[in-house]
Amino acid sequence: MFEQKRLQSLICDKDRLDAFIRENYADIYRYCFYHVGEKDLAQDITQEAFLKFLKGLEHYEEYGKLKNYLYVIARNCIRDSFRKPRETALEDAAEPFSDGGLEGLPARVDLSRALQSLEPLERELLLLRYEQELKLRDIARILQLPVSTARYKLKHAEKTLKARLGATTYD
Amino acid sequence: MIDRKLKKELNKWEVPAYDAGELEDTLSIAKNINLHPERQRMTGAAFFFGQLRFIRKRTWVLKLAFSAGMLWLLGTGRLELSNWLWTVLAISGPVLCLQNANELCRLFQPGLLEIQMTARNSFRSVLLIRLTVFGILDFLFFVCAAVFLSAFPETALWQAVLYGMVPYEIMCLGCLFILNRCGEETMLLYTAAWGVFLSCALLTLKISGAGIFEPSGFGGWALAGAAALPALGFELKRLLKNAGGNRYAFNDGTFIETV
Repeated sequence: MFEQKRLQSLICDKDRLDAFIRENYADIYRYCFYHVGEKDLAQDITQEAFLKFLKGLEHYEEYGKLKNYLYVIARNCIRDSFRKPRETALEDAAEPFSDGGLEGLPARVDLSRALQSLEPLERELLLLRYEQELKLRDIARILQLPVSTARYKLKHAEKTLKARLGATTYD
Repeated sequence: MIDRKLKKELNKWEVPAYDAGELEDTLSIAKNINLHPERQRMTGAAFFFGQLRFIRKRTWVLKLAFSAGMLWLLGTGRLELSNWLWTVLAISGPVLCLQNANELCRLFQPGLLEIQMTARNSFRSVLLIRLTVFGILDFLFFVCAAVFLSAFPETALWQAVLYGMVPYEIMCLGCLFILNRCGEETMLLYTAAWGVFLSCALLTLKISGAGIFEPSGFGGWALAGAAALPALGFELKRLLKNAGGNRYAFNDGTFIETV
């Protein structure tokens, strides 16, 4: 009910809408970057997610908080972008973690491999919990799972990732 | 709980900062999108308080004036306990209920029903809100009356509850029975007749010395109240079901009859 009221205030007040976008832009961008690994593409998808959110407000469905709805739209946009064939410049395709420089690169590569070896749902759970720092209830809403299932799968994902990362540690 | 070691590992995944220009670009495009605020539905609370405006001022004035008058009579000790105190309380219920019925009958006017059925918020919602508002007001009246009457040393709380609520309950039952079965044109007349009949019955019993307000009459009052309650629930459920609109029913031309 409160989110519905908040939604209506966003629709009627451009300044509030502005503030809402500024408040959530960084998080959605980070979420997109974790999935696609490229800054420009992540920015494009972030913009697309926000614009789709605004254009689709009439069809807003209850996902709990408005931000959860943004995540759902972002997920769909990411999925759509993977389906599109696109040309990727060689330098962009080289490293998903290119902006960290060479320092710590082995650790990042191992992390990337360990994450890629997880199931997509488990990877998503870890991303939303650890990187986006969302609550379990919100994660369950975004992924449309019961909370207990989300909790169980997250625990399993944590265990699996720790086991896979456990072989190699870097300072 | 967040696993801190895992968090430390995952923090190695660095994210480059986004370009401020992209954010500004998004904001400027967002400003140009027409969000159609005019198409937004009211929130539940806005709809509830909006309905209050459609209750006639006359009804508000009558209810408040009557309630204030009765409470003044009850509270200032102008009535003797042995004579009219309980009678006034007992008659208050039917009169309050009659004022409610008068307002509710307006919703059932021919032609208005069809308009309300096509409106965004169902007729059932409108009816529920009116019933809730009137219920709250009348409940407050009886609470205040019970508080004032408790100042009299010879009174007991159960008397205030029974002598006030039972006639109100019976009046409500009668009005709902009428609303569920009678045509729109005659509803108001029948509810008024029922209200007058009930009030006169109470007055007649009082004047004839039947001793209906004696403590020995507790059983009769309690039985009448207990018997009326389930019937009231049934009639209310039926009224709200019939007012549910076209989703579950077919339109017989006037009032919606459920299949």
